[in-house]
Amino acid sequence: MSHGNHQDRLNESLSALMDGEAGELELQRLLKASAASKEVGERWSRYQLAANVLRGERVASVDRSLAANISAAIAQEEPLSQSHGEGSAANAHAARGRWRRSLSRGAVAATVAFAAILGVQQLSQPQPGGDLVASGAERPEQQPVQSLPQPSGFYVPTPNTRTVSTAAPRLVPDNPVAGQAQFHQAPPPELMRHLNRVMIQHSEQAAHIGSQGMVPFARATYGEQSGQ
Amino acid sequence: MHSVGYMRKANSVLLALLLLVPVARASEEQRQPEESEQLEHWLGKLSRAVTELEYRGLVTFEHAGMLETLQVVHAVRNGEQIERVRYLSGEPRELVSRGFSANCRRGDNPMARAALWSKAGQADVQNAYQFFLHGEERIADRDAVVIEARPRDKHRLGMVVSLDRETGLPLKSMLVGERGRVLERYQFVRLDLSPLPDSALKPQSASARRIDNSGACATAQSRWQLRWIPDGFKSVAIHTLPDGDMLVFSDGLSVFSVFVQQLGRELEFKGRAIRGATVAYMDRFEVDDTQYTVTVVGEIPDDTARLLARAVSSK
Repeated sequence: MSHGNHQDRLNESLSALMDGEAGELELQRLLKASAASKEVGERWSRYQLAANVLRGERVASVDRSLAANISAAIAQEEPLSQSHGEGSAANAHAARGRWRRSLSRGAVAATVAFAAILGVQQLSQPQPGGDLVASGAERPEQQPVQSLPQPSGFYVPTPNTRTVSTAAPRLVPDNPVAGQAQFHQAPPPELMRHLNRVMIQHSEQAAHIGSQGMVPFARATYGEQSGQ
Repeated sequence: MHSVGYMRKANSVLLALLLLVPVARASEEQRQPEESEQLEHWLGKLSRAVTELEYRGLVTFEHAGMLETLQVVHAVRNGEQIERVRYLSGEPRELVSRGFSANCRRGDNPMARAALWSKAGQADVQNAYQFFLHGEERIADRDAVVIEARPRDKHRLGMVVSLDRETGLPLKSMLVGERGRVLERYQFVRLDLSPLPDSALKPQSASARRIDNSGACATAQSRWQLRWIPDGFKSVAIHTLPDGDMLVFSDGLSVFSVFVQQLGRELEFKGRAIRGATVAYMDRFEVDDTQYTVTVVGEIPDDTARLLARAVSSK
């Protein structure tokens, strides 16, 4: 079986789990896969995040160790008969009756897993328009601390400003599947230098034109720290 | 205006319209002169303050979820603007700029930072933005007047500035994107208006970058042009770089720069890079068998940057 097929099946199982339709075997396979593969775990977490946002719920992080515990707990339970293996479609169809019975146990486990994933860690207020999942695709907005008169219609969420981390611009390729996705991990230093340089040159220029006073200088100087 | 539209929709008697319209007009005119006079006053004050005022202060600068603190100094000596920015958080960074930037022009209007100085400049800017007064707030222990510049189309960001009531200096300025999202905020924590000793204008660190801005708005020849720019933007400066050209445009409030360069293959990237309110959109194109990289940088919406990059052509 090719890796691609295996991956596809895992993805299908994930979708099924998200829809509450995963059987116990699928759940076990997923838990095993997510323990073995960071990617599956992360995909699960992304699906979860997406579902939360769609439902307008708060966003939680995935606790992988909890998932591992659940996996262990299920392992201690009485194993299913081998005929439930990943056989042909007809076989699976015939087994559906027995599937149903054992489904309840799987469903319980799934629910527990869900509770763990849904968790309680509140990262942020739900945002109008549900932009939380879009962090890779949208310009991250500044979220200012509320201070007096805001023009009406301004979205001023709870403060979440961190202090300083990186000054590197965030790259969003136009077509991430066409071979540029790797930039998310390691953009070429020449590219980052170029972007930094043009941003600085632009800001220095802008300082003399717009009516923003010294703000562009603040932008220009800000960028200096990475790779100049 | 609302009542007029409503009446039309209701398709009521023409006479009623004829009677109502002048009334509606009159009441609007009564309200408007006062507000537009106030705006004119504040915008003029703003442009004078950012060019002429001598001050130093502590500022917080937030963008992309990050908060930095910096020290800013602004003075005029013999007609020359001297500005110093020093970061107090993160890696030490400092910049000192000096120069006469009065030669920056946008079309035929003197723009520099004084775009809003003149009535003509203001009228120009008001074609691109609608201005609103939003009451008052207190910043850095000072009273401030809140003004919003709301873009009239999708090709520029909005701006909310809180001007010091006494001097007109922006004590807080925010760039606002779609759906009222704040992309960047620059805000004073402390402002000192006492006269500055010359020592305050000197860089404090040996590694400070010094820039001379006397030629900031020079206009060189370029073989490149843009087939399209959003209404209200005009060419302000053209610079020749070692590996290409830099074309700068402004609508009086926002600015974008277009870089057309011959760069190596390792810089092949199509997409945008984002830092705070600044976006850089990169693409490549070919003219006469030569590859060029175009990078549009500005505090403008992402889509506008993309459209601009596509509009670059050879003259």
